[in-house]
Amino acid sequence: MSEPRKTTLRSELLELGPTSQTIVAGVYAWAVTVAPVGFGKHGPRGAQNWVATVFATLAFLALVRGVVTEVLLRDKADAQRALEQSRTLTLFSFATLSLVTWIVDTDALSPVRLGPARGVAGMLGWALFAYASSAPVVEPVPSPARVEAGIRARGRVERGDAIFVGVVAALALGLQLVGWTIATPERGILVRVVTLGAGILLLGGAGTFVAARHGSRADPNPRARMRSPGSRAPLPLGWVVALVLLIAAGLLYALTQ
Amino acid sequence: MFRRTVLPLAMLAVVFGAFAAGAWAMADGNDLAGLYFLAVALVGLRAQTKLTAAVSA
Repeated sequence: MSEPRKTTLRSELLELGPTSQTIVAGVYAWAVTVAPVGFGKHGPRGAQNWVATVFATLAFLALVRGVVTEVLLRDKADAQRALEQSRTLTLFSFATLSLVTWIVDTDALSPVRLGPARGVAGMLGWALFAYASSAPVVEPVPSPARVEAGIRARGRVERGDAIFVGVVAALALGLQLVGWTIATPERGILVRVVTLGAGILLLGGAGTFVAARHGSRADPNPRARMRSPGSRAPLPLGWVVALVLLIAAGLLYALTQ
Repeated sequence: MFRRTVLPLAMLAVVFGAFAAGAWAMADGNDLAGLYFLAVALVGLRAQTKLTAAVSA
């Protein structure tokens, strides 16, 4: 017979699991967009705006209150309604207090002080916070382990996948090195959006390639199945031709300018 | 080997080069070149996806 496990506040925090997603995203958004406004010295002659400091601190305390409530209530049987109310309160109190912080120190949000990189990071932080707040929290359901006959491999792991994906991920990260010395904030944000999108698309292309290496070779197309076994499928060259034509047009334009 | 590995990888290399050139051109303020390279990258990515699907079937 197993002894009841001793729980501490630290272990409770570590076991918050999915319920902590909102809090982590909120702390990130607070650290990037609210804390610099509340604790920075933006006033004339480097004076600190103490009202903004108070509201920024209250916004952080709203998140802390949410964590403490989760820790205290999550193990209780009939606390589901109270937990939902607490999450709603965390969302609105944190957003409202952050908004008040920005309103009382609007100077801190001017393009002179808010760099493009921090602007994009803050935008991502608030998007993550909004997404984590809107999605329902899914708690893992403890269930006894099932004993099965054995594991049958669904596919063969080919060599070099980790290296290949690692190289493509490094290239996608390398795209982020472009455009950090741009003077115009709008163009800086545009370049960040372009490089982020390009990185995601590159990883998607790499994923397609890796999945194709492990995928089934059976062709679901009936016409392809009727083909004689020795013959190869024709390559879809339409997009390749379009690519070649596009590159040729660019070269022609560059040469004539 | 060529159809299943080299061709898709070469296309992916073209896509990466076009994305990098597009981002570089946009950072330099050259919007026309930036859009051109992004178009090349997107068409290249589509070609790579189609080729990969075709050669793995």
